[in-house]
Amino acid sequence: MAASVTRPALSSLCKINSNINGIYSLTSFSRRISISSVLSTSAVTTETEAAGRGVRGQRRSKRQAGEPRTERMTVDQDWTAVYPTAASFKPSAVPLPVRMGYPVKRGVPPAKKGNLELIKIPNFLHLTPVAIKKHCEALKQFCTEWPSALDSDEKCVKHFPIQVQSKEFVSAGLSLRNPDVRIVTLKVKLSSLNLDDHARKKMIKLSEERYCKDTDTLTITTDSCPLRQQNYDYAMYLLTVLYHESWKTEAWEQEKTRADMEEYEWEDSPSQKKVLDTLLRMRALGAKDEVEEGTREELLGQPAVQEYRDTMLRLKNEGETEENLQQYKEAVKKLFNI
Amino acid sequence: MAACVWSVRSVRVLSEIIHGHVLPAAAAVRHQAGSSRSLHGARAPAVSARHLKQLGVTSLRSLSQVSLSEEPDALYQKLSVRVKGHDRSVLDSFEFFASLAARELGLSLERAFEPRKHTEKLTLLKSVHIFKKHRVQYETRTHHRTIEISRVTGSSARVYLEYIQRNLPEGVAMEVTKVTAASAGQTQSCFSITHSACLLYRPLLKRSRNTSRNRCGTRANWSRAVSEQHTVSAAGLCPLTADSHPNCDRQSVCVYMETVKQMHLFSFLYIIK
Repeated sequence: MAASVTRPALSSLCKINSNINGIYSLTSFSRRISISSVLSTSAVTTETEAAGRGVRGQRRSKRQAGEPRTERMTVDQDWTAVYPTAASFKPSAVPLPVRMGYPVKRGVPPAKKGNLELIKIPNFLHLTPVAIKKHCEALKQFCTEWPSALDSDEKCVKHFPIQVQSKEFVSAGLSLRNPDVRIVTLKVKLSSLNLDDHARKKMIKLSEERYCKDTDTLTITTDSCPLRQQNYDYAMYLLTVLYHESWKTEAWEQEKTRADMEEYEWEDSPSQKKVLDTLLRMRALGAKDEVEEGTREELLGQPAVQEYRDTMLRLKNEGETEENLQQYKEAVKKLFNI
Repeated sequence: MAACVWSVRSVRVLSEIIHGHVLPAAAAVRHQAGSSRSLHGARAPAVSARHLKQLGVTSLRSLSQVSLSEEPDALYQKLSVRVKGHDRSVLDSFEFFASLAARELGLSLERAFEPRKHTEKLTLLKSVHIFKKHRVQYETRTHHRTIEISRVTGSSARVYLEYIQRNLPEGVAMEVTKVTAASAGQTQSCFSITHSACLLYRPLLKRSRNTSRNRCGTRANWSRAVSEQHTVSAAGLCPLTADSHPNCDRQSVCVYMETVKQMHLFSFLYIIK
């Protein structure tokens, strides 16, 4: 009735308006006008309204914001339904009176409505304890249990003496790759390997700086291959080679001199010769004795000489400490019967 | 199940190599019984829709049936997760989340601590032109948080790490250090090595030391190392291929000896270099 009367009069206006803003379709525009005509019951007012809209160009009708979701929330609601996944902070959906930001003079931090600081910071609203428990319940079926026989670190090391360490990285950037991922570190205690005395010394000499004397650990770090699997294979290969090589005795190892020895040995040392010499001279002053192998062994077998030998070994191998020097002094005094 | 079988096999092999005698049968059986008892609960049944509803999880449409593969499960002695970020409070919340997740999944959380923050300072000129005496200073603070989990299996570690990583907040980076308990069974090798061959090994040992010193790991070094590896592979010593792991027979050893003799000259050049 009224709508049908106004429609042809406004058709020209509709055409003008559709040129200015093509967003609104003709039918919706005419529908809006028809509704307004029903409400205002005069064609003139609708015309002026339409004219005003047309002159100012793009001007959306401001929808009234409804009441925030927080008003309708119950205390025992399911929060995982409000924030099921990671999402930005929505002040109308979070019922907490949160304030964030630097306060103005004699003021308080700004409220949550329209607060950019709250939107910028990552929130953990989707990871409440209830949500975490729900997730873990669903994930538990994919986990396996640790064998109960290996409940302590010592048992782990006892059964699995080789420890392989590798790293993984998660970060945002231009590239997903991190070249440090290929590095593999292999650690093993030499006491857990089947080595005899000679093999152990040779292995330590072969590994040079990779062996730590305090912890008796051999550390092999490989990063020469581009892939982690390759570096792991290479590290295992190096360990195998070291092990087998240290068990073999080469012909040139007979030429090992005193300077190559790892620890001090008293047998055939200048110290032993001097002691023997001194004791023989002391003996010779008292009685005429011939130097024989038997007397040499006898001299060496004396408890004073043995004590002197122990103190010398301790001094040379462990270093000079107060008590070591004291013991050396006592041993020398006993040797010369002072 | 699979892990128990693997562990028994590996323990026996290990003892043969390391201690030179076979582990007494009683101990092996005891170990097997212990681990099978522990793993019995881990053998999860197939998940049906009814189970899902009981769990209260209705939205996981893509959850398929759990399958156990024959591949042995890895064993990690320690799993260290280190997160880095510019905001300490974000890392606080993440630590709470990660530790609760570990507890819920049944992993043994050893400790969660905060390493020292790292500050990078920058002193720049304040003005665009001249005024050298007037500078401005900026600093970038990186906070860290470490969560250590001990004695975790490969499957559990994968599940936990994927869950943690998918829920990593923006602006936070993560570094995961895994310490695997490896068996010595893989190092069992039975080829005999001649004197000439050991000359080839020394350069291999030297090379790893040189390249590890070079922190940048330039492409030149890598390509040289890879090419060197390839030349060594001609001698049959290549560690890169899986089937170089020798449980090798007499034939392959003979072939190896021949190639080693040919390579003898080459090895001398290596040492002179």
